[in-house]
Amino acid sequence: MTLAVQKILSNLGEARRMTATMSANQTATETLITEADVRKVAQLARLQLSDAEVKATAGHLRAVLDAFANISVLPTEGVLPLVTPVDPEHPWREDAEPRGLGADAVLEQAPARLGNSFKVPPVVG
Amino acid sequence: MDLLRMDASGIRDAVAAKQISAEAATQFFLQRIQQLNPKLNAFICVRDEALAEARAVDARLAQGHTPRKLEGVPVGIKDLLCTKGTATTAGSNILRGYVPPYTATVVEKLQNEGAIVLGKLNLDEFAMGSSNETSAFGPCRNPWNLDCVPGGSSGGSAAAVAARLVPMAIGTDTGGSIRQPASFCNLHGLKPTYGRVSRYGIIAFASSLDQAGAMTLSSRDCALMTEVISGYDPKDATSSTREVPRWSDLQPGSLAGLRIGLPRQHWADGTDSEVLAACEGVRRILEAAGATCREVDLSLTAAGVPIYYLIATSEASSNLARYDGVRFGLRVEGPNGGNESLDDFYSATRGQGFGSEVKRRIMLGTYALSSGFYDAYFKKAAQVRRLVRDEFMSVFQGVDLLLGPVTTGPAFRLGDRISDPLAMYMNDVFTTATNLAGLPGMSIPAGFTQSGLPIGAQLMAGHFREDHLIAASHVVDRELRLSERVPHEL
Repeated sequence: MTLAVQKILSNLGEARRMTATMSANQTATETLITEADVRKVAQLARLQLSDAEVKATAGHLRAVLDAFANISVLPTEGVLPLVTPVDPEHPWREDAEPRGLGADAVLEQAPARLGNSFKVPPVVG
Repeated sequence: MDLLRMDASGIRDAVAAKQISAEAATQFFLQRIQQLNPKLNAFICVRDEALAEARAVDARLAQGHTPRKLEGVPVGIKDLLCTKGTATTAGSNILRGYVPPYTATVVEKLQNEGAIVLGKLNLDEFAMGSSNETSAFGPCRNPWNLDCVPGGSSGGSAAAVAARLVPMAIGTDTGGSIRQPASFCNLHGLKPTYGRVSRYGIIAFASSLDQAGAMTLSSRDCALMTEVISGYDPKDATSSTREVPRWSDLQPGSLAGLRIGLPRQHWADGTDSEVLAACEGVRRILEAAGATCREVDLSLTAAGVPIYYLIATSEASSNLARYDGVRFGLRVEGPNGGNESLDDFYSATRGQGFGSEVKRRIMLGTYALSSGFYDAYFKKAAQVRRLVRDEFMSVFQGVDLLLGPVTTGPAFRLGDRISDPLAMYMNDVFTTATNLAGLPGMSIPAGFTQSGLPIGAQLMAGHFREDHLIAASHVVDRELRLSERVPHEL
């Protein structure tokens, strides 16, 4: 871990101390991520990884999640998750029929097409 | 006419007054691109149509039409914004050669005001990076020192403007991607309030954080470009209906009554002393103009990077699910010639099409959203995000602006951090929180290191208070005049 990262992470520790209601008995723990875990996540993400990539990814995920584990001690009980930073205004749109791009324009970039359809591998055998 | 030493506003005025034609201005910058892009790798593609469009501007003026806000001004566009008829790659092999059937609202707004789009600018792949080194089109270099990165992810935009390949450019900022490269390249870079600028046609990285913004030489250019691209767009449900002020009318003046907060955690040890000294210089200028400064606490500063990376990668893992080899972009068929399972087809396409940093982030995001880890990572991060926003809202009860460094140091050398993702992520320690909270933030030129690298200072304001950023930036630009400097190394 570089010096710059260590300094910033120690700053995180300082931020933690400054949070008055911090729970005293919670501590960050080392994240356990095995290569089997990585393969499972890669399958969920539909992402083909080589053996070398699986090994490297396990290490990277461990390092990143370990460094991020300190947020677990911040008290958030009863806090509503924030998923968009500015309250949406939900304006009404004009009651008019929107014009689409048209099938030809949309299909023009398809890497493989069959007539007016996108071509995919057989789904039902 | 010395176009090399003119800002975009000056070029616009010269074109409007017919002191120079839009065609001649466009030709000048196209020649700069031809001459210098091989050294910088800032442009991924140059539009053949630019000269014809410039001639159309000249014809329009000859017919007596009123000059528009960006009449005849050449602009560059980060290659994350869709441009109908012009390839849009997001810096990725998975979109190499993709030509969108529609144009991003931001680009349309620029063109509607008479801007000439010269081409598309290099970036970290899908805007994921802080150095422009993750681009599938190769790294871009910093015009102030070719051994250094220009920052990222809008590195091509920053390098192109700093080197005068184009007088202004559009970048996007998800966690600092306008402000950090602006600070590394001696530019003004403004990330507007979330919702101020339409995201329609901007290839999504993290939808609740992404905003496009101006990257310019002068402060007045930044105000002008931000004004042009802002405004409600029915095609983006998160864009705001608030009226767009005429920021381009603002002039440098007294800052009496402006209250500025100096976040203790941003001015702490761990930041380069030359960076802190330059920011201190900015503080003195603002005080001399009548502003008052006092220290404030942003106690959750250090939590910003962890929760940013958990939220941004989670959103990215969902957004990037659309790259599946079916509707556009790369398609990789397995040894069975397209008769493999759909999952294997998806996985092969995505495995070959995405670069290593994008894969790393998709994996982190998928992990954070997966069953059993969602509460501990994504939900926890979203809860802390609310605390971060609430803390900013509380601080902005007592001050109008926040001032501090953009980054902990100036531009670093190519290759120095690319193998250490964590060190790269920590580049964003002072910038991510504004995205998490949806606030406007701005990087302004603040000085140079002894070794000749630019230093930026960051201004942050409350929601929809870009006017405070611009008022302060105008004063500093008038005083320091750093935007007039041209890189010598080129």
